This record gives sequence, C-alpha cells and structure tokens, in this order.
Amino acid sequence: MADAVGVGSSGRTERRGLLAPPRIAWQDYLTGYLFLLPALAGLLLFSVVPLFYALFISLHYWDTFRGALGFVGLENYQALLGDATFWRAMRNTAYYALWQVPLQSVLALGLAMLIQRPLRGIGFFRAAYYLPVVISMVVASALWRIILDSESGLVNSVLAAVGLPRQPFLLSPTLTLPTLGVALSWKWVGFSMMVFLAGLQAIPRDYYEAAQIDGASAWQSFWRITLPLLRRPGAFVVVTTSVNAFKLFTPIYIITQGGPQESTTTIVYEVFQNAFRWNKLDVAAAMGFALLLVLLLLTAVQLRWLRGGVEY
Amino acid sequence: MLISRRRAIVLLAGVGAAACGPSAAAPTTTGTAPGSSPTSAPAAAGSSAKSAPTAAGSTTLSYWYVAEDKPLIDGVSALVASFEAANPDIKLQVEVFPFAQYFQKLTTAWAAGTGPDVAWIDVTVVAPYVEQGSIVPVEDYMSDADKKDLDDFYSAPRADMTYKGKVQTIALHQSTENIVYHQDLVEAAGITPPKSFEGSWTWEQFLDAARRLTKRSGDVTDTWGFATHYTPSMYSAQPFVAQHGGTVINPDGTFSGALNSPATVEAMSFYVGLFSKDKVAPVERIPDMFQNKKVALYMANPFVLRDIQARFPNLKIGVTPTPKDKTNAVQSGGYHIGIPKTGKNPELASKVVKWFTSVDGAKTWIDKTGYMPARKSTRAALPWLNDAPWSTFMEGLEKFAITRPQTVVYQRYDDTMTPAIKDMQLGKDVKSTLDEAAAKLDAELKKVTR
Repeated sequence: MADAVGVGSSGRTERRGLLAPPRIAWQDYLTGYLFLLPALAGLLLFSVVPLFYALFISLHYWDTFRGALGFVGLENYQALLGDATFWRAMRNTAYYALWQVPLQSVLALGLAMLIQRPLRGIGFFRAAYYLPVVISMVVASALWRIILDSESGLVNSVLAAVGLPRQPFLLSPTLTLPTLGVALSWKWVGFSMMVFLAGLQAIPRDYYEAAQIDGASAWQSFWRITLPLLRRPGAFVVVTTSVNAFKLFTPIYIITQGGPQESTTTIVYEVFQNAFRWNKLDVAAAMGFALLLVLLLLTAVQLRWLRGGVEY
Repeated sequence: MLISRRRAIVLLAGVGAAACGPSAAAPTTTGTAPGSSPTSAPAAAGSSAKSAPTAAGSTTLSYWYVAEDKPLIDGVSALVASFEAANPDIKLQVEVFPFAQYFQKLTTAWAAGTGPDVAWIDVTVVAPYVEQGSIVPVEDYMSDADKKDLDDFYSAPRADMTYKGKVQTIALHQSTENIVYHQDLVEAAGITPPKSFEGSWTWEQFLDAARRLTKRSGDVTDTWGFATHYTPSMYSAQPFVAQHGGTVINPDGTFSGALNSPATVEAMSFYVGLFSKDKVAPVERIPDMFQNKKVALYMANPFVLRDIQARFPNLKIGVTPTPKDKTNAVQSGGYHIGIPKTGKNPELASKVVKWFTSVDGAKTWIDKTGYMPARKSTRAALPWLNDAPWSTFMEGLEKFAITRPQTVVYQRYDDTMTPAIKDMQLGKDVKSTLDEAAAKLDAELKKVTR
C-alpha cells in the first residue's frame, strides 16, 4: 500500500542536536543521490509526470485518439459539477466506503487480538486470515457472484435452510453496495490485521501487568491501554482502507457493471468507462483529479483526527 | 505528440485505477465460449513489431487478433502459413489477445501511435474507428477485380463492411444465434421444436414451451426454460425488436423515436418479460448452465454449440430457429479484418487482408473454426454447412439476417443498454427506461459530433 498519502515521519526528534553536521564531501552527496536515482526516476516517470500530465489533459478537450483538440480551462471540471452521473458515482463511492472502512477496521482489530496470543499452531490461523489478500480480485469477484446468487447461491441456501427469506444480494439497488462492502472487507481484512498485529506487539507487556496489579479488568485494559496505543497503526489502517475503498473498481467491472439502476457506479469505474470505452480522456482525467482532491481532503481530516494523543 | 499520448495512458493508470489495473480484469459480461481454455498467452503488450525490413530483405507485418479457443488459433496459424508460403518476402508476426483485453489494447496502442499493421476489428466498432480516423479503408487498396469479388459476400456482412460509402474492412465470417436445446428435456415435456424457419415458433409458442420447460421446487428453479449464452444485451434483444417490426436507430443515426418507438417498447417488454414477468429465464448468470442442464432452451451461436458438442459428446442437442412475431429475424455480424492507420505499410497489409478473406482463405478459416461464412462460395464449398444443425444457422443468415446499428456511439449504446436491460429484467418500467436511454444516447451523439 505504497499509495498511503503522507503518513509523515514522526518529526518530533530534535534534529539539530543529534545531527550536528559533520562535513560531508560533495562526492558523498552524489553517491547518495545516485543510489536514490532508480527509485526516484521510477517515481517521477510513473507517478509525478503522469499526474501533471493528467492535469494538463483535464484542462483540454481531449479525445483518446485525436489528442488535444483545444484548451478549455476548467470546462471539464465545470461539466462534472453539473453531471448527475458523476455525483451519483461520488455518492456511491462514499456510501461504499462508509460500509467497508469501519467494518474492515473493527474486524481487523478483533482478528489481530485473537491471533496475537502465542498459541500452538497460531501461525496457521494468521496465514489463513491473511489468505484472501493474496487471492486475485478477479477470481474473488467471480466467486462472490456465485456465492451470492439470489436463488442458488451458498449464502441464500444457508438462509433458506434456517428458515430465513432469500436475499437479492446483487440484484437490489439498496443491498448490492453494502454487500460488496462486506465482501471486500473479507478480502482486505488480513492486511489491516497484520498492521494491527504489529501495533499490538509493540505495546510493552509491562503496561498490562501494571494495570492488572492495580486491579484493572481486561475491558479496562483494552480501552485504556490497547486502544490509545493503537492510534498510529489505527490511523494507517483507516487511511489506507479509505483510499482503497474510494478506488473500488474490479468487483464493479466483473459483477455489477454499475447496476442495478446505477447503484454501484463508482468514480474509478466511470474513469475507466470514459477513458477506455468512450475515448474521453479529458473527462476521465478530470474525474481522476476530483477523486484525488477528495482523497487528499479526507486523508488530511482523518490524520488530524487520529493523530496526536498518547505516544510511547 | 507521440510521447505525450503514451504518457497520457500511463497517467490514467496512475490517477484513477492505480491499485486495480483494469487490464487485469476479465469481465464475463460478454462471456466467452463456456469453459474455453485460456490457451492464448497474450503476447507482450505494445510490442508491435513495425514493418521493419529484416536482413533477408523481407518485411515483417504484425497481425493482432482475438482468440481464447484452439480452433481459432489453428485457423489463424493455417492462414499465416499459407500466406507466408505464397509471399516469402513478408513475415507475419501474430499476437493473440483474449476478448476482454483486445479493444483496450488496440485503443491504448493507437493512442500511443503504435499498434498492429493488420487487426481484427469487431463489426460493432467499424463505424467508431472510421469516425475517429483509426483505420484506412481497405477499398483504397482494391482493384476492380477485388471490388467485383465483393459480390460473393452475403448482403448483411457487405452492409457491415461499408461505412460512409466505402468498404472499410472485410468480414472474416458471420456469427448468429438460434435456440440450442436439450433433446431429452424437450421430449419429456412433450414438445417438438420446429427444425426450419418455415414453421418456426411464434412468440406465444416459444413462451409456452419455455414455461413448460421451467421446473421449480419451492422457490428454487431446477431448470430454466430459456437463457441466452451471452449476458442479455441488445445483441440478443435486437432480433426480437426486428421480429416485431421495431428498430433501434433512425436512418439519420439518432435514437429517439426508434429505440423508444411503440414497436420497440413492446418487443423489449416481451424480451425482458421472459426474465421479469414470465420468469422462464434467469436474471443472474449461472456458470455452465446449458451443459449442466440448468436450462432447456439456450440462445447460442454455432461456435458455442461446436464447443459444447466437442466437450460434452454425450449430450443430445438440437437446434430450433429463433422465434418469429410479425416476421423472422436473426442476429448477424462477426469479426472483420482491417488496416489500422498506425500501421507502417498499408499496401502490404491489404495483401494480408485480402488473403485471409479470399475465397480459399475463407474456406480454410470457416472449416477450421466452425463459424458461419460471410461468402456465398464458402457455403457451396463446404458440404457440412448443409447438414443439421448448421443448416439452420445458415438458413437464418441467408433469409432473415439483421445487422447491428452502425453508429459512432456504439460502445455507449452497448454500455447504456446492457445495464438498462438488466434493470428492466428486475422490473424497471420499459417505456421510461428506453426513453431515458434514447435521450442519453442522442445527447452523447451531439457531443461526439461537435
């Protein structure tokens, strides 16, 4: 998840005192930067340049085949503001994130606490919970479509067996997006779980022992020690999960194609359709930038809200 | 411009679809032949060998096509071998792509100023490709004899090949759908499906048969009466529209008044009603439903049928014509072959195009692949086309073929109508859905032609 937006270095250490500058020869600087060059070149070529190029495209009338057909300023963005399809996609995407982010974060924390215990064979469970992360999204999507079939799907067969009504999981405009939120939480929960696990293992045991001696219950330990000290990994999980949720594409492409009744069109799906199906690179670029803007704002808010507090 | 366009593509991967590279996805929207083995390792993207003269003084042309099945790969190999034998100075470098990726590959290659010298072009994108200036008309490289030879093509493919008064591409073959059925299920229900278009089912008879073949226990369906092989779209719906006397597009290229005309609304109501009201067809796709006998009557093309027959030789399968209403109508169309503008040697490329679609080339191609011919002479040359069940497909194509709309916004049309059809299958009002779709497409048409 290298695309996590600026979680930032802790930046609290006093630099000046620690790194009182010993003289470094310029050759050493050069060597250092040469080592950085391959990574920097990749980053520039595949992230930074395209990013600005996208901005450039979004300010033009631009057909995929014919290229730039004139500078139009912010017209593409203005058109987006008045485009019901765009707003629906934005709303759908946000609504989806509202399902997936909390669900996946809470599940991940729960699983991390379960598998943290040093039990015999715990490695098996850790691997098992992580497994969905490495399954191809296309394969997973195809499987869900079968599992969630309104008649013969596994889930509905189970519901029917215990006397509950069958649900049109992937056919209902109200149910489909939340269903996908649950399914994708299953897909990615392993990743968030590992982050929490690392966070849990970094909490010194002494704190719990001290709390225990003072008579704290397990519940109190969780609320007063575990949760506050998981702020950092928590912020990381929430931010990466949100970014991922806003980029929802593959299951939409494979399972729903934006339906039923356009209830599952997402921004990235619209970007894809515009760029690769309808040759509207300008609209696609503008949408991509709108998404970037939303994500930057969201991440800034989340980081502000989740940062600070207890340090250890 | 060349480099900047290439960057433009990179950027999209960067901004929008970063983690979920769209090319990784293999959509089942349009489906492939069931269980088709992905034999075709898609060759390295974008590595299109330009017509670069080699040391021996020969020229290499790149040839892109779509295949996920062995018969197609065999067919192309046979034609490539014969072409190279006859033209020792030209080498063909073949690259094969799965259906799901092909058009995206072409789009990105063209946008970057690269791409093949000869390419398969689906009948539906001939008009868009001409309008956006991606292909060179094959007619520009045709002699008078070549032009005269076009009379050998059936009228449907001939119409598809021609856009803006010029022959743009050449049809490799035709495909068409009729109803493939399970002999035993049909017999058990006491139904005898007609064999020829003469006595083909009316809509009422067809619906009645589908009802009788639909078997349920409780609220679970054991066998569906009817299903389409491909995800329901205008591809399978348009024949119903034509059977009822409706159209999907006006002669001037607009949609309002055609796509939402009373006849089209009635026909679409019947079509989606099979799923929504009559409940004889499944809205959700069931994998391998025909081979698993989850459906009795199955709208499928000869290629799909041949594949099923080969893999499940014990199934007793029959074919009955697509039903009729006011008239008969069957879908037509298929892949064409054309010359991309980014190719470096259109003159030589046209040689390849002509070879692959020549009387002999077409005969080899059809015999190897099992597609229906676009040429009348192929029909005469291959006796198996006169045998059941292929004769039923041929009869439909010869007498009742309709063509898909030639429109610059075809992909919009498809992308608008496929989800719309699903919504209508789930009960959304047909008239208002088609009104909306027609208005949306007309608005799009205006933007494209601005």
